[in-house]
Amino acid sequence: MVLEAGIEVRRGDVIVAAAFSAGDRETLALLGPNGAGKTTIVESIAGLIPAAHGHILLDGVPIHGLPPERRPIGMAFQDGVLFPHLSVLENVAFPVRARGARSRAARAHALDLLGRLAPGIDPGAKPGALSGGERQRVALARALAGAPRVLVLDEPLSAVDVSARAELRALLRRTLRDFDGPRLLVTHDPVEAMTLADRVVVLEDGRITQTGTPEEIRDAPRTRYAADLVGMNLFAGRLTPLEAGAGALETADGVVTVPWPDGVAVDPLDDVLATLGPADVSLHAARPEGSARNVVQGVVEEVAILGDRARVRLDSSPRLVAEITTGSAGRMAIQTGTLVWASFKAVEVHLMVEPGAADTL
Amino acid sequence: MSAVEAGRKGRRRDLADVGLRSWAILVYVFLFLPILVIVVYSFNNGRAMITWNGVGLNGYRTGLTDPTIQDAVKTSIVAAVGTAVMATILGSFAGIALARRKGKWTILFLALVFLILVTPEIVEAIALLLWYVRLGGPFGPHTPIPGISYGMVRLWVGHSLFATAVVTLIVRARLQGLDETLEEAAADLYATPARRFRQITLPLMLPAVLAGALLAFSFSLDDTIISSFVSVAGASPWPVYVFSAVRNALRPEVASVSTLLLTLTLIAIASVALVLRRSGQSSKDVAKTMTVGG
Repeated sequence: MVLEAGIEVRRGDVIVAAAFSAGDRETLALLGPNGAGKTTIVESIAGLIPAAHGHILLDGVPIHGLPPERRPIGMAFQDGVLFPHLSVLENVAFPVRARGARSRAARAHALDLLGRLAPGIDPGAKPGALSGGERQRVALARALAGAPRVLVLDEPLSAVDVSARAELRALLRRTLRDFDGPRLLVTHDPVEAMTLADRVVVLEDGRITQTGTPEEIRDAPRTRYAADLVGMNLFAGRLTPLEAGAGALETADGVVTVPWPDGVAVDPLDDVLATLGPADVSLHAARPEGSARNVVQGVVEEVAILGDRARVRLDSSPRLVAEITTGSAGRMAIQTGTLVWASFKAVEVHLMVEPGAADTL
Repeated sequence: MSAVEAGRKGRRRDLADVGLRSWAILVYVFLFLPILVIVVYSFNNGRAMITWNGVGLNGYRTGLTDPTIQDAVKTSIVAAVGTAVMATILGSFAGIALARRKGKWTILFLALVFLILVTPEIVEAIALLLWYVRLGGPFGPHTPIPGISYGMVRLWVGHSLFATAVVTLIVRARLQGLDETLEEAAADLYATPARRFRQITLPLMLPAVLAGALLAFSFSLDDTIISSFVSVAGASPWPVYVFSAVRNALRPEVASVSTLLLTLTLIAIASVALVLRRSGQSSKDVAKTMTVGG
């Protein structure tokens, strides 16, 4: 199953245009700042907003002429949009019933989905009694219940408490991985896009500014927005305790010293994610003196100039992207092949502790 | 601040508090005392309502057996039920249209609805009478509708005018407060337009519809001006009967039957509240809906 979309949607005075395709079992993230038109695009694909021009094809078959109820697109809306007068179970059974299943079969199917995606939530409860994270789980179950061929998640983590995010992110990862068909993820959070998607479409002011794998965009962001948000250094690996308040994050290509996350038991942890802003990495011609815990040497692989900033990609251990002013890049005569020292403080590394660890919080 | 000063300030605040509370109680007494008087006088055994002559059920006995009063009450109830049905159906659809299909004419239609609300009832009454007489048909003595008196049709239509405007505004307010994305979500979840209306829109607007129906019912029940103008002999509602009775002397049965109608209205309110509770609304929501607070 392949989804191809090339549409132009009018939203007030603004025209949002996007063309992309999502392959079978591929997760495509639509990443962009609030108001960029991401939701407009997916709602148009679902048929909820008419497109001014364009086509939407599923395996080459046009679906843009169909009303929303006949498009096989399952959407988990931002904030859930659960029906307030129906119970959790009735919400999830709704699309099954709408597709013609009998009440009893629909309920059984809904209970099964809820058991897998939202265990511990009373199926008889009304949505008003649920937390943000619970609502999102039910919305996810409801989106899947109608057996859609394309799964769309619209800002699935935006209405969720920080404390519940890690666990929900893991559930989203599993759900996306197991869904048999194209998957679209709408988000303004680069970490979500980078960790959950196979490919990322960057949308700004109603236009696509870049499309590529997370690595491609991280290495060569084409706009200021992409550079600031997506062009982050991302580390993933096993976290082991060092001395009090610090830990060593062992990634596949190097070790990073990080602050120990608050409220997490001092034990080794797997699957820890961490980000580091490129502007927090400083470059030096000689080995730097000072308090920075992380000091590595590496060869400059690429220098990209974005306005008055230079993004410098280093072949170091771990690999790093640094952002410095063009002035200091000139003073240090940085170009491809230059050997430089890079340093950054442990406290600049932001940790995201994945599930498992959440139990010990 | 010394302790003495603080004490004085506290006492002053207490006094203000007591003052405001007593004032509030006085306002409620002022509002409800007339109703209490009617209820008390409905048990008056005297010949005229205002001359008290011992407690008894004479008023109720006469009220329930007098054929003229029976007819008037029956007319009132049938007119109120019919008005509620007619106004609720028309007003609900108008409210949906105004809330969900906005266009450049929406403001104009809303202005028309408000115009109905502010038009003096006496003007509407005269206009209706002229219009009914000129139209004839179901509004005239040669009505083609069998089994229903043309006087009743006149009451239904006349009362529905104002009541429909009220229902329209209540339903519109409720739907505007409801996120349209709920209906969009239902559309995405394979629900056809008919199913979306039945399972999402209708249950969500039900509180407003019921509150509107209730208002339409009670508006019709106590309408005097339009009824006086358009009703015909043999189909005069209770307020018209009372109004003409004032010219002679008000008898206790007027108070008794009025008390019964008051009870009927309270029962109607209670049953709507019960339906709303059953449909899963919280008591706060129910109270809000019943007071047309959204």
